[in-house]
Amino acid sequence: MNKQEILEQLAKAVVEGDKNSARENAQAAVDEGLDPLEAVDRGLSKGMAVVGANFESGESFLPELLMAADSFNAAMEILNPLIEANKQKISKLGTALLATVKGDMHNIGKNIVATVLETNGFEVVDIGIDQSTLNIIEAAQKHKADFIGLSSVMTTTMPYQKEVIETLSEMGLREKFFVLVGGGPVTQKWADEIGADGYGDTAVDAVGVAKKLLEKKG
Amino acid sequence: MKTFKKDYSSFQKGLGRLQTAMNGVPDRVPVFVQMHEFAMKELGMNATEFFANPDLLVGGYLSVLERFGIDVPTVDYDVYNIEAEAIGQTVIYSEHDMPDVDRSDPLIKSRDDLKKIKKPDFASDGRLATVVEINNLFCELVGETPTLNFCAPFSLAANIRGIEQLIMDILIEPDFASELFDRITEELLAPWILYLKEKFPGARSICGNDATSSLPIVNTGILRDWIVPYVQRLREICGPEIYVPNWVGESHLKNPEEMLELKLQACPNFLECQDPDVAELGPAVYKNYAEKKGVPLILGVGAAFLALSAPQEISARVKHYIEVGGQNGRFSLYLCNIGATTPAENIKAAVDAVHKHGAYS
Ligand code: B12
Repeated sequence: MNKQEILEQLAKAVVEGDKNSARENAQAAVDEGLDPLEAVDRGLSKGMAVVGANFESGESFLPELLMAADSFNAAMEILNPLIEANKQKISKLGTALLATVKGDMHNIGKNIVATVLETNGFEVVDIGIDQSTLNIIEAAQKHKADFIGLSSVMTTTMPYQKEVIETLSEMGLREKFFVLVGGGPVTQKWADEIGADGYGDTAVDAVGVAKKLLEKKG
Repeated sequence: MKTFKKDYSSFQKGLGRLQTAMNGVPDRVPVFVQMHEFAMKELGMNATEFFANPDLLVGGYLSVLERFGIDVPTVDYDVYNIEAEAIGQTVIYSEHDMPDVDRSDPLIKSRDDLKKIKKPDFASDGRLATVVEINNLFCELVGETPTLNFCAPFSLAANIRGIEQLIMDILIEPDFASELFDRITEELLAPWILYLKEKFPGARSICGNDATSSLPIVNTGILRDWIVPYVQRLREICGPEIYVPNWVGESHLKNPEEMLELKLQACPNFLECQDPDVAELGPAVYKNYAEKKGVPLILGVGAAFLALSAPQEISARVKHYIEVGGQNGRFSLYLCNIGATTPAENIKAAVDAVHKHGAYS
């Protein structure tokens, strides 16, 4: 197989959620002396982008996304030691701290956002569900996050997104983090109203919005 | 401690209306609702008091339903937690929110844990006895047996295993997943439902709650191969009054009927669908399908919509659903999961619109 074929096979393995093929092709990339970072960027990540787009358009569902992420990670297990040995670093676009806000136990959407951000080059710290405003802010500081991503799936818990933003302002920390909001009932209008930096209708949107904000920051 | 009325037999009229609506043309479209969080706030109670106290959950709840002119009385509590808690899943209780399973600590972590899924002690495990007490109190106050509730196999599996893990089990370790579902269905749910039937011989409907079996969390393949069969198994063991109505997400599909068909396999006697799917596809899709299949239709106005819209928008949507869905009867309207922050005037607007536009002359 030539280099191009290996990259294509890697992407295909992710799209099809084929863990064995992901492993075999990652090994082929290593054996053929491909740059492992290129295998990630132009192989695996390309596949993940397709899966993300299919999820967004309603063509695929959480199971397909989980299988894709699983295959992605299986290939990474083979590529990672080489990346580390070469002292290469997958340059992270930024660190996102994710949480589902207080009172809200829904985590499926947030977990998808975590997977999609992670496989698109972000470092993700996921602190889980039902997180109080202060917990969220404390964790964002501790992990030196660039983004705080707040998921709220119920109208009753949306006000906590607002509370996080207000508390950041009160603590003089508002400028330190970009705040992204999302979750079923959350809208662009609500995001504007509470002064969030970005809103994502889907996890794939979240990636685009986050990248744009980083560009703006320069 | 507040005390509530001892007689809610006035609800029998609404129950009769629902029954007529399921078969034909009633005097008016019946409206029913799920609003335990809203009721908790209306009654000025915190969650720790409310969810542990049958008096509040039944008497208090019925008083709020009555105040808002809801036709159909129901029992309403944290239905997803009961069976999981009974076999040892940790449940988190807090002052402000309804109880929920501790998703950071699922009961089933390995194959070895599967043996924890067994027939519970109905008298002493978790809150099983409280559920019996709640339903008893309802019978006493209303003079009718309520719809009994349980957590359906898939949502229960997700609660004790973790949803992502469960989906991976299904895709990668189907043997393990089969054993998990077999045990949940046959060792835990079937004996519990049969016990409930024995306690409440008047029960005509026994409803499995199954929000997790929704798109895009699962796909139609999983619905067909892993979700429907276990509901059908429960129906075989426990009887035809068992049904599971509340999956959502057909608007994600190119062909929504594919999912409606599956829904009727788990709930053969009526078609229940709700926003945002209904708002997305329009009520006519559902009415046509229900008529084609010869079943009554229940349409749900969405929780987020009810919480965030203006009263006029709510009246307009209720009117639209009734005008399309209510033609020739065989229709009821459902107000989904009203949360604590939903303005009371929004609920009033919805109920008023039912009264105004729902009358059959
Ligand atoms: C599955 C589900 C559950 C499961 C949750 C399992 C779990 N592990 O999360 C269970 C059964 C446990 C559950 C419990 C409850 N639920 Co629930 N649940 C749902 C359901 C069916 C699907 C939610 C879901 O996962 N969707 C799929 C994911 C992929 O979508 P998503 O979360 O919107 O995420 C996407 C985007 O929004 C975005 N996104 C999400 N987060 C973020 C964050 C950022 C930063 C960005 C950029 C983007 C982003 O990306 C995601 C991927 O594209 C919805 C109904 C519905 N139609 O949505 C009700 C729903 C959310 N639940 C509801 C309610 C009321 C409850 C309960 C109170 C109990 C009850 N009576 O049913 C409890 C709540 C417990 C609590 N305190 O939180 C209501 C909320 C109503 C409201 N007021 O808004 C809904 C809308 C149902 C309804 N119609 O009434 N629920």
